[in-house]
Amino acid sequence: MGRSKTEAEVLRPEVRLLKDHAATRRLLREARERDVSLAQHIHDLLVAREAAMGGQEYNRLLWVPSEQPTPQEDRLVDAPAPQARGASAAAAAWLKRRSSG
Amino acid sequence: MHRYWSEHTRKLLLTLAGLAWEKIPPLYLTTGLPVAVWSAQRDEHVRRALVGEHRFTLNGVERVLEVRGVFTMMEGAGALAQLGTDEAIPQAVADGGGESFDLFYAIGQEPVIARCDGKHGIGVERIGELTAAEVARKYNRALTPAEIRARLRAYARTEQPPVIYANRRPISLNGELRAADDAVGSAVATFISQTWASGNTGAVAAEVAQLYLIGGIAYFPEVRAHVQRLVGKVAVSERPADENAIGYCAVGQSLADADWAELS
Repeated sequence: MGRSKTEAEVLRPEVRLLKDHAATRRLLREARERDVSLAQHIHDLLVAREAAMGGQEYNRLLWVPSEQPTPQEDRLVDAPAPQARGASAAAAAWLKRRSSG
Repeated sequence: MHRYWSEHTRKLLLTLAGLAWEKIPPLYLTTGLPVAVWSAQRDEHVRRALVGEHRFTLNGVERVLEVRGVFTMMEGAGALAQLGTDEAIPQAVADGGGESFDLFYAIGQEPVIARCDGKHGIGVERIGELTAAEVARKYNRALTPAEIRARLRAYARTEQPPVIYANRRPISLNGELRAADDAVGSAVATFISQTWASGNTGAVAAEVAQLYLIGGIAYFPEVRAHVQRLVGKVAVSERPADENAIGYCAVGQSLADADWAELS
């Protein structure tokens, strides 16, 4: 009896992860929170990676149940440049003082 | 004094960076040293202690921080860069932190070292110590560091602190805190009058165009009142404890790549 078509086309790589590593612990936690096996979670992440490369929204793809997607207003952005009138003059003064020893 | 370029300071930096970023970007660090500590040589000590690649583990996660440059200035100078002007007029910053008080004086942003000074033992911690001593004397009860911190914070923000007890009775420490605030305010005023006397007229900082009171001490009403009685108009911003840090950030951003290359 020959192998089924499904078995013939599927790769089953063996993945070895250090048990005591932060990345492994994070994967296990995420899998638990999604209520899927670790293997399934890793599979989903790789599928999501492909989807992200295809242009799907990164934030949605990385969603796990314990962590809500970041609200628009809370997303990290570059801090605005402070409006400090004396900043350049202070920088020049302390550069000079530093080099004059 | 060496704590500003010690392993302890390095660990504080690594902890802050590790908490702020999951993947830490390369850092260009601008920071302050107390007036009594800053010198070109000590600026170099801090640079040597912090510049480079630091590998560390925080909360079970391995991380790397690369510090590409370090720039230091006197405490108070950051706040003046943020709040003051670059016009060549006398400006001054009175900066009270936890354990020390710094007086920074400049023409524009150019420091006038002869009029800058720092004093250890005047600060928010001293208000806590005086309060604890009075509580021990009056109620025969020791305050824990956490209790002191909670009471200082509530008093400075005019909030209600958590209730504490002495011999099964709740005690309020507002009187003791105000007295300690007043005593430290008096010490601050004495220090300012000694450092910034305007000739023999008895006036203090009379020639200064703008004087800023910053640091955690600026939240304490009796300290503010003492400084105002001594020098008249004094500016206190909404977030006085943050002004130095905001100023350091602005100064760091104004440095050119060529400057940072020399600071690595």
